[in-house]
Amino acid sequence: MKDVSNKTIVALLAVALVVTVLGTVVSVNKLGELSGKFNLLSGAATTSASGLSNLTISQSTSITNQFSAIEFGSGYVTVPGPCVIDSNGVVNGSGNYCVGFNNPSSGFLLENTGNVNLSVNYTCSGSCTAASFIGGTSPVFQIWATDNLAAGQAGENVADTVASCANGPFSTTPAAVSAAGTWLCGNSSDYSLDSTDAQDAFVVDLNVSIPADAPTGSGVQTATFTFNALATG
Amino acid sequence: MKKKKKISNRNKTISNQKKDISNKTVLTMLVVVILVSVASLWVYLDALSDVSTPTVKTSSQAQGVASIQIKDSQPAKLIVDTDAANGVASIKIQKP
Repeated sequence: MKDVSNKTIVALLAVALVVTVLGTVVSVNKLGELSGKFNLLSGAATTSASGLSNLTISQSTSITNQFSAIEFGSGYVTVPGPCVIDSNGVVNGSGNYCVGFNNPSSGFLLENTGNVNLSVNYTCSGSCTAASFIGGTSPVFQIWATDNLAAGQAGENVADTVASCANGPFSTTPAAVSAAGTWLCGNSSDYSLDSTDAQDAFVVDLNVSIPADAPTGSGVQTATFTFNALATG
Repeated sequence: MKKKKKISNRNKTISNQKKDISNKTVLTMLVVVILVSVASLWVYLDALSDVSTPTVKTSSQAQGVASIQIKDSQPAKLIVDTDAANGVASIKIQKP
């Protein structure tokens, strides 16, 4: 094969040079556009006269369960039953027909720990119906929510001084627990759990009603609740 | 004499050409350089396009567990209060 001439080599070098220069120009231009579009995080002054600086803080969607285990304990029910227990302690395991159960006094404490308003729903896995969690004749397994100003449960980063979830749908009426779950605070279009520390938490309580003929010997039954928080993008 | 010198110079040139890298090698290297430049530009632009469309996290999750165990029922203790009061009755039957 015949050797390539030096002219060809020079031409190819020129192409390489053009590509490099073009690449550099495009890169610099793109970076410039990026800076203009998103105001990259910087404390640098934008004018020498006033010393103005721009700071852009991005969105943070975060929910934290500050009380993650409700243990009704182990016990039995005397005839005629039922034994009724609320996780908020209003009706407890020392009540009528309850023997040996715990006296829970705290529900799941959900706090908005991000910086945007949220809507919250739940799903459940494990024993998520009254029949599977308790069993027997006409068992009850219910869930509901209360703003933490009213509930007054300890554990928040900053205690609420205003009722949360007040400006949207709020499931304050006890309803049967289900695997599919439901909205607790807000919904798919209403984000009513505020991110402000003074009103950013609510409590999810559970109620059980155990009939005297609830089956024994099936060990500890558990229901795992997943609380999903959503925000607009 | 001149002819001998010419032949000597030609031999020197041929010898130098043998030591040099060939033009083909230079061409190959240039092609590689161009390909690398284009590829790196493409990767950079691709990365920039990813940066220019940032994704914002719009969901979060928290978990909680509820548990219960129902034991074999034991009959409640029957507490019976007892009390006793004594009384004595006596009788004696006599013969008439």
